[in-house]
Amino acid sequence: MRGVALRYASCEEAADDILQDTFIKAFDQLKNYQDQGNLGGWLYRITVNTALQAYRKQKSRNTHEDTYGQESTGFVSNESLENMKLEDLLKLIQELPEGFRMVFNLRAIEGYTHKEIGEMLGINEGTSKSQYARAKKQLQERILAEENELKTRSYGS
Amino acid sequence: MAHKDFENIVKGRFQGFESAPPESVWSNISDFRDRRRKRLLYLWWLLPILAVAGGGIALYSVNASEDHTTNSQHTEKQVNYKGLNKQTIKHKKVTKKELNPDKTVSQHNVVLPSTQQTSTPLHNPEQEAPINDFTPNRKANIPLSKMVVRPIQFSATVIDGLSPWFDGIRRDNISSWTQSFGIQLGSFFTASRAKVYTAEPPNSVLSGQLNSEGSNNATYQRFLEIAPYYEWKRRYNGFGIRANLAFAATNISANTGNGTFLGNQKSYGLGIGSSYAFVRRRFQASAYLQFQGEALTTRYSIGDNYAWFGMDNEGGIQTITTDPNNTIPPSSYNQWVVSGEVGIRGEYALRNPLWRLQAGIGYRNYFWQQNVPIESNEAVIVLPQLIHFNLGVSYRFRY
Repeated sequence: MRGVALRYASCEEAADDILQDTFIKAFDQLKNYQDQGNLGGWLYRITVNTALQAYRKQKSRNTHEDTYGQESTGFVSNESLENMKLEDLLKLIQELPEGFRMVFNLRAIEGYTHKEIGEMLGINEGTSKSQYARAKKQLQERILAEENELKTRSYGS
Repeated sequence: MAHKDFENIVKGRFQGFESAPPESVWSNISDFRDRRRKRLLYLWWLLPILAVAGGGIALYSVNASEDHTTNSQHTEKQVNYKGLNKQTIKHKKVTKKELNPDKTVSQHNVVLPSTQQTSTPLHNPEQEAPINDFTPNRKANIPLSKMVVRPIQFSATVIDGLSPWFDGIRRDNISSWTQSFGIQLGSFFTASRAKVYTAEPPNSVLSGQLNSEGSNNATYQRFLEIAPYYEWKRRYNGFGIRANLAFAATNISANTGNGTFLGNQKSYGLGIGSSYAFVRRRFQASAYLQFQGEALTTRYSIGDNYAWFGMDNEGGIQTITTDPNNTIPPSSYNQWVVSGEVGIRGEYALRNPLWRLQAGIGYRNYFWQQNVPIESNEAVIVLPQLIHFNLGVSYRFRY
């Protein structure tokens, strides 16, 4: 559950807050949990919903903020993505703007449609699509930047 | 990179991703739940106190003035009890009007029963909104095989919110209510001064002519109350209802201007109340609100002899006289009263969890007392407020 919270939060402290709220809700709702399937799946859903509630409360939707400067024409290879350390990938996702990060998690990892994402976040479907595209582009650029930096270091050493 | 490849690779990378939270997360969760339980306990304290305070304010805001029309007089009385002559009693009554002709005295003890409702729990998790799941169909599609979190070891008090000593093992066919019966012994400490009233018979002491001794003091020592009870307690949320019988014994003295009546009081009662419990392993703390109706029998006597006041020739010095031949039955009156009590009670489950010990402290207020007509010049005591100390034992026969 903490792994899920880390993907949705911007830092470890925020992820721990989401985790605490998740368990408190789980204890409160445990009496209502009867034959709802896998307990882990139930807790997973609570975690995701708690993260979304935290995001909606915060309402700091700097979704149009572009912190990555110039556009890059490069692309990320499968090998780069697969060989990249998971902690580094997680950190790059956490560095995405808040709204981009929510849309990216819900689309790329959870598999929701843009229409469903729009309902969950209170945005329209077109906004969800554009935010997802920009999130993916930014993530790819950062991955490329990290890869180039690693290469520079190895050449320079 | 193809669109789907990127998503699938990212999704695949995070499958099975684990991260152990710091210990502070668990302590924060436990602290939060403890703080919330304590907040609810404070509120449970506050509600009964506000209810009784509101009833008390309503009680004391109903005041009526009364006129004093009695005059000083000397009277002699002879009363025959089954052919025997009672010793005549000479007494002089001086009304307040004679002492302070312009001053009126408000009549006491005309009370209205206050409406009090049984408290209900403030926090009912069952009524909270369920978790909002936007996509009911999605839950089957979430891959979980590699998402393994660290197993969490819950203590006995955390699993399903149950304590094995008070709530038992959760089974599908078990009743949502537990039942128990027990007996409680109590002793009381007088928190406010008891008052005594007399009146010229056959008037009622509470609506008739009030004697000048009306504001004098009395002592009231309810030294024992025995209360067997039957209790229903709801599993998992601590709400309980208790019905009880009560037998009490009290020593009284009624100090009037003409003398002191000594006597005792017995009462039989029926009570009903509600409580809300907080459980921690073997110990359970409850806040309760209870109402009890009692039938009092007050008898003025010293031992088996009727005791009454006497005056010497110089006046002002009272003596207490009893009939040495024990030919005059002790005087008595009956009265119905209703009380409300708030308090806290602690219970401890023994090694056999069906048996529990309990101890408690409460505040009892008699907010309604029957208007009693008296047949002779005995005094009628207005019951004080009491602090109730009690011990008890109970047995739960359904587990």
